[in-house]
Amino acid sequence: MRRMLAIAWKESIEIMRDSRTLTLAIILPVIMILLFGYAINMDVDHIPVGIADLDHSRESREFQQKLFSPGWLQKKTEHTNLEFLEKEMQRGNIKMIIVLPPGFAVSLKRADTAQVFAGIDGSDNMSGSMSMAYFQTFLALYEMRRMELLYGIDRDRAPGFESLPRIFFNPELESRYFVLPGIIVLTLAVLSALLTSISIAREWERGSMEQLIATPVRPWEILYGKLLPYIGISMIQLTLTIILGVFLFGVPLRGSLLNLFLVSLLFSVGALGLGLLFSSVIKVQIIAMQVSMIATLLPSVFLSGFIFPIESMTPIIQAFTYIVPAKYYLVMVRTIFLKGSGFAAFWAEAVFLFVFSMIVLNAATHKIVKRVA
Amino acid sequence: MQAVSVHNLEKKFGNFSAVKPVSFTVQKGEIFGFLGANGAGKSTTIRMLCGILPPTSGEAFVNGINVVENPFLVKKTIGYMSQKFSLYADLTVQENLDFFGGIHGIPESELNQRIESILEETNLKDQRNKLTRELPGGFKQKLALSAAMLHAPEIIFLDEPTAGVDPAARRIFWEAILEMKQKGITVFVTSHYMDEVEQCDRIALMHAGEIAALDSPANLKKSVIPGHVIYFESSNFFAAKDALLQSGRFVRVDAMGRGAHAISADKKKGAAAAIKELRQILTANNLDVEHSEIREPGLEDVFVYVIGGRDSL
Amino acid sequence: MFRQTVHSLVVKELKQTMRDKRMRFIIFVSPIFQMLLFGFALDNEVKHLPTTVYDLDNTSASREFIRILSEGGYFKTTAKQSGANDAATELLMNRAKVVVIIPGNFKQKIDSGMNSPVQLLLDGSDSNAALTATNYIRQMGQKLMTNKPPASIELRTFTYYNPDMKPKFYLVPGVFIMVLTVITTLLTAISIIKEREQGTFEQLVVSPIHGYELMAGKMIPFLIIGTIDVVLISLVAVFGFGLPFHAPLLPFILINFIYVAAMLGVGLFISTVSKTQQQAILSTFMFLFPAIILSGFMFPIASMPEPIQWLTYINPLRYGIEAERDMLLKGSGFAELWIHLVALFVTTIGLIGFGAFRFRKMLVQ
Repeated sequence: MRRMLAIAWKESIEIMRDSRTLTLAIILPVIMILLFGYAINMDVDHIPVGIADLDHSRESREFQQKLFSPGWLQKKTEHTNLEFLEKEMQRGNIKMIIVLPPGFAVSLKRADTAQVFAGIDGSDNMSGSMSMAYFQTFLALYEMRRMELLYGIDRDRAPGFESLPRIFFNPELESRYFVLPGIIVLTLAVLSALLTSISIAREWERGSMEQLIATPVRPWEILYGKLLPYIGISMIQLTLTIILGVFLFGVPLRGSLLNLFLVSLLFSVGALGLGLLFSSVIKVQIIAMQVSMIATLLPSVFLSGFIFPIESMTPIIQAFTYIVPAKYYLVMVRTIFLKGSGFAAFWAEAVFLFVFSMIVLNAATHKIVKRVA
Repeated sequence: MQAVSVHNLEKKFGNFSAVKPVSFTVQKGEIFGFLGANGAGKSTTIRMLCGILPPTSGEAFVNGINVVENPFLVKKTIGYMSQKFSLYADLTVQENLDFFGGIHGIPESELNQRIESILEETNLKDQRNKLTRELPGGFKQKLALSAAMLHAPEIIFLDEPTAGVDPAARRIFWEAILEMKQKGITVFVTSHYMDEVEQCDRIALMHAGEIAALDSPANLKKSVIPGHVIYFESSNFFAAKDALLQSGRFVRVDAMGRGAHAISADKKKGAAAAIKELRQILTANNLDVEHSEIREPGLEDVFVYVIGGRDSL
Repeated sequence: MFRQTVHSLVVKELKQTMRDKRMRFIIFVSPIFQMLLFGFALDNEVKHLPTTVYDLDNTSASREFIRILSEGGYFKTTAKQSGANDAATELLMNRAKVVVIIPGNFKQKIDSGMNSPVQLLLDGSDSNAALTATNYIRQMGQKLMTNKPPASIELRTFTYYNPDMKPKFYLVPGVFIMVLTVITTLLTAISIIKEREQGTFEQLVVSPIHGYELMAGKMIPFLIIGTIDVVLISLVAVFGFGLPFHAPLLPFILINFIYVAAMLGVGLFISTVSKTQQQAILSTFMFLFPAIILSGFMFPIASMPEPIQWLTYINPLRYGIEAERDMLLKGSGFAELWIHLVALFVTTIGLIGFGAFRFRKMLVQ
């Protein structure tokens, strides 16, 4: 124990001495939270649209006015030549083309079916598909209003069924509440692995590992000694990001702060351990860091459920996500923040993360033992 | 013609004067040594001469080229090797030589010839495809020197080239330096090792950014030390040191081997008288003297005398 | 002289990089692997949502409702006959993201031609899923409506460049850029620090090398490697994911080439301003993470606040993703993408220029 603390102490001194790295490590999560808390908005807004109003009637202008006034879709160009609009789309200036054909007003008046044409840019997932969804919603509302006017239909008496949605935990569907916990998780996941990825390789490169091994210190003591100070850094990072998320961006923290720290502790052991594992398998600092970056950055962004739903992935890929620790942590952080539930809601994730951490740390220790032998 | 000539060259880092204005010249074909403690300003001076570091003031010419005005041209005509092992550990012997020849713009056919002869000389012909990190230390050092000499510079700057190298390898390395001198190449070298510096034609002793003394090793030994160097052995070195220094008749007393070297304040009296004086002072203080004799002053005595302490070594 | 110096630097760098088995893996295998992994993984359509259905009616009508709900793979339903009082707990305990409660008089109401409300409970902590689920169920409701009054407006839709609206088509070009970006930035981010830490930088400094020669010597080898990666990734995109390759060849090659150069420039920039490898790698993260998030790949740029939108104009990833998608799916060429080309080119020149300048300054330290 004392030997482990000695190593932790030495590691801390080295970390403190490289003040720029320390500053970066602590400032980075803060910058990320500030930037993304402010920047990210999943709600589709101001999508540039090109419209061809071939009807040129009072009704078609009214339709346009109703369509664009909420601001989800924004009229960028109006032109009667469809080819011109298609060019604009190819240049990326507009994401959607809406055509109101001639006879639009006449059909509406005659209570015929009026046709509306809408084309979206299928190369842009975010703007394209979501703007279409909004357009459909708009049409449904528009139609409902017209129906009430035309037939005086009472919606409640309409036959069929109606869904009464009640949204829990985030009734306004603020995407920020959904995204910010994710940013906390991603930042911690990548930074942790990066920070520790060089710590053992550095000792090998410097030759100080032989020195350490020559002392009666045991491999696990080296490993856990190196882990300790970085856990401290992780906790500082976490505290700062929680403070910013809650007080600056108003993300509700409904669950227990203690639980949040407990699962974060568990996670940082795993994420830091992953870095240590890379570091002890790959003796070279540079390569260890590159591998850590590749192994954590994109997988944490893509495979953690941060944005892309894990449920939608094929079973094989879903199986793969089990080795992405950020996945478990993300579920836990979102649950604690927004739902306020305790371990009963995420015991499985906690167990998985614990098993992951143990495997990683044991593997890293084992690697050091083998090196020594 | 002079290989190096320096006039009032000065380097300040902020308020700190790393090198106070120094002036000296190095003759062509000379082995010129820089001796001094860490932080005395040796490396800073060399870096200025190599065109890596612009001086705060003053002038320096290397091979007749103004270093301040034309650092790039200087780099073409010099060789440089530092205490850090400066070959690529993850390249083979051959690849390292190819690389350093290439960045100096040596035409390929000529380069190949030179590499062959270098491999011949260094006995590395069979190991040309070995990674440099796998070579034993002495070989690495010689190879690094060869790489630094590939473009046939007229002068080579060696910054502590043998730091951390074992004595046998150091000796081999110095043989190579002497060989260069024979070829008429100027060698500018810094070192900590006295026995090495002895081989220099002239030595500049640097202390706190200044050149404290500059001469041939023989002259330095003669001119710098004011008195006689006496070797003595006593069972209580520290008491003996205090007594001798307090008497005012001796200016330095330093541990040396099993005993100590004492430097007398002057040479007014003969050597025998100086020994007698030493014995008298020690006996007066109830200290024993096992053995005493006159020694020829060595460079170490000169160094210690000028620098004023062994601790900084 | 220039050619020989640069040639020597290039050969040296290539040998150093290719010698290590692990490096070869990072460079050639990992991009393919990542491309396959993420390409198969990513699907921003919400599917298989864990859904608990409390069927309090338990009639043919309610079972039919559940059957329709389970169709199409959007909801993975678990039916329960009782316990609807604890419905919210399903969400709280992460057992479901959607809870549907079919009331006891469901069939009765429908049969009597009345509106039968179905209660829907949604987990708003996953705002995306909640929103999509609401839309799915609303559409379902419209389908189920009997006696539909005639629609007054019929919507005809068309999806340009991706008629079947396959998510792979717009996601894979994004993954393409992400994978390429990470690998290229990493390659150069530590290249100069490595020399400094190994002590070989000293030797370079005293050699007659100009700043731009060193920059060229560090760029070219990785430009070669990056180009090979572009080819590998493109092959995976086209043959692995059936992406249409509408790109005109010359713009495709040139723009990707410049993109790689710009990313290497970013890496070199980081390498010249960092003192240790750790600083370099953290700086790389500081660049990559925001650049990825603000690239328009995951979050629509149009919805970001104005100042952030301006920020995206200096984000090379934005240009990369837009250009890649436009070239691959729309078949755009220089006429449409010259702004992207110029932006990336200016980025490259600026970063390399700065790198050479920093190198000259480093000489005097």
